[in-house]
Amino acid sequence: MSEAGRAPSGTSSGRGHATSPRVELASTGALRQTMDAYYRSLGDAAERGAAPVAWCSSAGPVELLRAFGFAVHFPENHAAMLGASRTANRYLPLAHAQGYSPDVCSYLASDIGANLAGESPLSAFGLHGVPQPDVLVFNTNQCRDVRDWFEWYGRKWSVPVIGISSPRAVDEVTDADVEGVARQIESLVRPLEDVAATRLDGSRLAAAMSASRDGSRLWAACLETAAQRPAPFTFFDGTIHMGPAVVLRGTPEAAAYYAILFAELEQRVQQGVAAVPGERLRLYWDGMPIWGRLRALATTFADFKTTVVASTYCNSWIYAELDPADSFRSMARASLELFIARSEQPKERYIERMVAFYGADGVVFHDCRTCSSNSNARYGMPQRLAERAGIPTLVLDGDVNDLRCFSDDQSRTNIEGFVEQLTDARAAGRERSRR
Amino acid sequence: MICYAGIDSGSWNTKAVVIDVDGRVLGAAVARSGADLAAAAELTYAGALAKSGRTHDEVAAVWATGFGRDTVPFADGSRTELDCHGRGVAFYLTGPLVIVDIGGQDAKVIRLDAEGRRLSHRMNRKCAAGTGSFLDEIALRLGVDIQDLDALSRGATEELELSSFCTVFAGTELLTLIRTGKRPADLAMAAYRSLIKRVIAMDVFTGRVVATGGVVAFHPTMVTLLAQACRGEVVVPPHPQEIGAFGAALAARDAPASLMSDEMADEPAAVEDGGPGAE
Amino acid sequence: MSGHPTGIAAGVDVGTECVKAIVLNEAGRTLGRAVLPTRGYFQACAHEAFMAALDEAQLHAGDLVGVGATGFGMQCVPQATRTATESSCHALGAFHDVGHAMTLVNIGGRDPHVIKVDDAGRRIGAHGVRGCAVGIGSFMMFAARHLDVSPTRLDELASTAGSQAAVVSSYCSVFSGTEVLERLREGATREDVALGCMFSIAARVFEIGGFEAPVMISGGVAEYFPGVLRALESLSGLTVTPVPDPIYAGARGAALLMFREPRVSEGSATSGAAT
Repeated sequence: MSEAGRAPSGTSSGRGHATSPRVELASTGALRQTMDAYYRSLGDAAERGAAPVAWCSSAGPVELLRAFGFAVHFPENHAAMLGASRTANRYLPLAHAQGYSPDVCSYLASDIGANLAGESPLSAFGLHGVPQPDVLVFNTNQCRDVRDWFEWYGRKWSVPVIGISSPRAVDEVTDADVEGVARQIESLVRPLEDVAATRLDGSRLAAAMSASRDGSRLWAACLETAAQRPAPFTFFDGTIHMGPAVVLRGTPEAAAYYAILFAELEQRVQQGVAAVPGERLRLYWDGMPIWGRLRALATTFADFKTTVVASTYCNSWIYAELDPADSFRSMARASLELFIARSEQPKERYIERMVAFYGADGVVFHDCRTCSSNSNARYGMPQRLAERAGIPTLVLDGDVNDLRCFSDDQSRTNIEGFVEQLTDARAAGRERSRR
Repeated sequence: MICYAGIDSGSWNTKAVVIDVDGRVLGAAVARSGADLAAAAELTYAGALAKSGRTHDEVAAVWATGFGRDTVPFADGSRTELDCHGRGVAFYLTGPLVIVDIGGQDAKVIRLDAEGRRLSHRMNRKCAAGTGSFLDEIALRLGVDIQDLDALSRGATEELELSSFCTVFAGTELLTLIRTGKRPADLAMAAYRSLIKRVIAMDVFTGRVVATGGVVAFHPTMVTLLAQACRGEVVVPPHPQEIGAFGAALAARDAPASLMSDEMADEPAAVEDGGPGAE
Repeated sequence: MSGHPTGIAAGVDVGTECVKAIVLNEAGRTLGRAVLPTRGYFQACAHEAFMAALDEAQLHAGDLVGVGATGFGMQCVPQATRTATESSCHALGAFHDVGHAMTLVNIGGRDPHVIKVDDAGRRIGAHGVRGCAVGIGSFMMFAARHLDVSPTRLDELASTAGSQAAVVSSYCSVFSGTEVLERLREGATREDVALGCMFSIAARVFEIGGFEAPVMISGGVAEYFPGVLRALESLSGLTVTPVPDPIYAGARGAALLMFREPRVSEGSATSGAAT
């Protein structure tokens, strides 16, 4: 999720490069407007009663909430803002002191900590804190922690916490899986009708489904432009520009923004503009961003003329197969088919396909200390990819929000060493072909 | 006579090596890095030059490596320690090799192919950090000088276990054993074994295993234990503590070739300064 | 011994960094004391500290109603008549000095605790730090070594820092050592880094939770690194007051316990009676 182009400039660490060699996107202005309007609409709903407020996990059944007219707040987006603004580490100790272990999701802990401190980055948009919910809706397809997170707020404000207990580590998605989750989504309708004090309107649901699908398709098209050489768009750009895909999923605003972004990326492709000028190497990223080091890492890779072209992460908000004619089942299928919800084998095959599609020279796995669900380096996948498919891999230890789990120096050396290895290997390959 | 120098600016110690065009070591020096990395680099470089009998004017190029590789003011280029350890070892030994470098603050495993090219590397996980510094702490706890720790461990008779992955926890375990009155020799050996266990967990050790780094240079028991753990022979190259600095000196010597490979002249260069957004 | 008229007792606190010994009269007045680094065999260190404190008091072991031992090496005090946990002893020692209920933060070499003390000086709860942040004392050793100062000078260094503490934030003591060097490499002053180390320790301790006014602090860190107190105050928003002679709080509590219960009836872990 995104901080909507508000990621802090410069870095508190790293080696003091005067200017970033990356090329910024002009669409960032439109992105900021889109996100500003969204945050302000949350304020209107929560503080001026314009609409009921629902909280939704980022891979939750948001189309259903749109159909009821809820203003929707996404705690994961909020937590990512805490990470990107590097305030998370101020708040984490407050939640840990309440008994939330430093080993559980640092999104959860920093978000709860910020709430305990009475602070929120949303105050920049005129809100007096996070919008108080009328209902919280989770989907455990990504992890159990979203539910634990929501329950804290549910207890705090005595509001209902409802959701979907989804199977995880799904191999091939079966009809039975789909049927089970679809029934769970359907069973949310009644409690949501009670909270919203209105009946579900099928046409509004269909409209949200269409909007979600259209936005997803455009977002996917934006991401796929990075398959071009040189890549016009990077993983780091993606983490910023995915904001609307997350928080405006199921609204026409998302598709409207991605039409603008896609046009700019298309133009870049035609003109051969590289996101990382002088691109020499291309890498694929697995796992979550390290929000507090986003800029520093983007600069580090760019210094080495290396483009991180795409990720398993930014793809998590693509719901291209949603079907307005079969809402519950297609929502269920989409939520089950997400990368994060899958077992090792489909994940491994997916990464292999993406490496080929994006022409990546290697894969960087982020082993995210407090998020096992989003860390795919823990069951030998990097080694299997290297041995079976000959794909060079690197594992970076880090965390999504807790910078105490990340070492700037070790990461820099790891990345630089990996770049040296890939560069030398390519030079040797050329040497051999010359002989 | 033309010569080359390499500086390995480590988090604990700084090493400098001066070589001739054939890679013969003419002089080497080591000093504590301290809080001023640039000063330590100057000092060791001057020391290595003095031993080599050469002057600064004869040095065609100086390359730096290690933790402070970007803070060596007089360096002409830098490579990571992953690269330089590989280079240094590959000068003496033919691959494929698995190099285990055990330094003051970290450990790494570097795999080279038959032609000495790097296949992969691993750095210690955060939870298994602190190798040399761990031994320093153990020596302090046992009330012996660090130089005497290896000799002390040779008198070990009882096999004691430090099971923790974390050096801080392992330190506490050691204190617990001290409390129960265990013998210092057995404790010293237990400390070495616990370090080897951490190193062994970093990668699969097959083929020819090479050990480098300051810890290996001063604690030969570690090499013996590593060989036992790998069920094979472990080779220690000449001047294992300075092997990174030596590799950096080789990088300086081979710089034209390295730079060329760095340029990657063919492939995607054509489009790099195209559109309006480019800087 | 229990009927000894003068009412003098000793306490020995065998910590992972230092051994503290103290000799008190029944009013709690200190007659002799000693602190020594913990090196090699604990028994030898404990004995040395104990004898040094007796020397300063110009007394003999036979003059004591009892010897209380506490700390990581409490079983290694040959003269001990009983042992008690560190948190109980710190609670008792601190309570004797301040006389009211409190949140007592004890930060020593390895294992910091937040201890709830009631208005009778009893420990009614204690929480330790998360496993991964145990190495408080050893972290200070790493940091001092990288900053090229004696550990005891770190605080002095921090007190002259500018307003900006350099961020030293890793959970891991070992990685924090490297972080210290990273900050220096980036141009932070040694003073700012020293201050950053104080904040790093304070953050780990604050995470234990349970901070409620009044907050008192005991242990070696309060003695040698008062900068940690200021950092704790800024994190908790509460006043954090050191108990008198904070490093001796555990030993003092162990000695005071002798006037209450000089021996434990059940099979004690101590190695036998006093001399």
